[in-house]
Amino acid sequence: MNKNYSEIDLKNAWKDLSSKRFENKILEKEEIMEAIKSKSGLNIISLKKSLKIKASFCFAFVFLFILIALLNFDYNYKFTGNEDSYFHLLFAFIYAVGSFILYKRYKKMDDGLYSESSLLDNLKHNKATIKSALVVERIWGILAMILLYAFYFSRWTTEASSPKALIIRIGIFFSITVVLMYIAELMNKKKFGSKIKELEEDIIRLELLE
Amino acid sequence: MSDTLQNAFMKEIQENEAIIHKVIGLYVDVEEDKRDLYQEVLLQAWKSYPNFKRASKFSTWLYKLSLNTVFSFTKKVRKNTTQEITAKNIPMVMPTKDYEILYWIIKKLNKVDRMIMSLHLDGYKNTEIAEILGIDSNHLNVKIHRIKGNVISSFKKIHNE
Repeated sequence: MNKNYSEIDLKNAWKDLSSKRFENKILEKEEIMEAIKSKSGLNIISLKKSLKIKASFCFAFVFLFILIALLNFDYNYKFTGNEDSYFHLLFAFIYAVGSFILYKRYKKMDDGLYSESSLLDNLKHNKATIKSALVVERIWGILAMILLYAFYFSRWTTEASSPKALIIRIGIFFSITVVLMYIAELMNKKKFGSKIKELEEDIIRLELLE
Repeated sequence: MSDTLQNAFMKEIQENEAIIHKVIGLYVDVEEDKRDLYQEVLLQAWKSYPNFKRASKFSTWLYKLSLNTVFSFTKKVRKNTTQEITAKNIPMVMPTKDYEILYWIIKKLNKVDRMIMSLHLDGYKNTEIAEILGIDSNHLNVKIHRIKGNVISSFKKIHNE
């Protein structure tokens, strides 16, 4: 069968093609949501694991400070002479509170996305939890730093041989703090940053789909 | 994104959703990749929408964005498992209906010609096609004429076989 094809035929064929192949929903939203669910579920598991490691490290520091305090404790004295030990115990207490809050956040996170509530709510809940855990860590870190500064500054002002020596000590201390804070931020970004971003993007995707 | 902007975005996306499906359907054949790409285009559109200055129609903007997203996606995953639609992986069973034949022929074109043809058949002006594809509009008339000629002759050939 010979047929003369013109642009009209092409346009008609294209119209049919568009309506049959492209305008019908070629992608089922349920399937897309399922794909987001499995990807986000893995992200949440991974974030939870990283948070567990973080909390475990904090608990390890608590034991370390307690151990240092006990080893340095001079039982011949009560308070005077044991300032360092008491300081380490206070530090351990602050770390213990911080670690406990981190642990609570860890327990609050889901093991993937299997619960009854909606996928979007689930994602939002887990994102909020991990973000608040990181805020808690930052606040507790700053608190610990303030305490550390208060303790050492008061000691250095009495111990320092000259104002110059005091300034050098403070300068070194500040520099180390800045470097440590930078490293902590970098590690958080590496461990949590991209996964939190993916969670946020999945939340937008789901909101758009709904 | 403010609520008003979000509502405007949702409305325009719903009205032009077929563009996303069309671009994806023309370049990707694997269902899983189609799903990923659909989400990705929506996400990219969501992110870029506040910066959309209305210098062109929303549909033109969405076409361009979908195309860029699909191209960068296919480039990124080509080395892995995704198969872009090319003449090599089109099934050899000859289609019978006109629209199926057209789909088959268009998918055999290279990726730029494929989009030129689909935009032309969608009724876009040459200047708009040039803007979407980021190409010079001077030679577009000749190019469209040539591609159309090839498509029509392939059409005839298939029908006469």
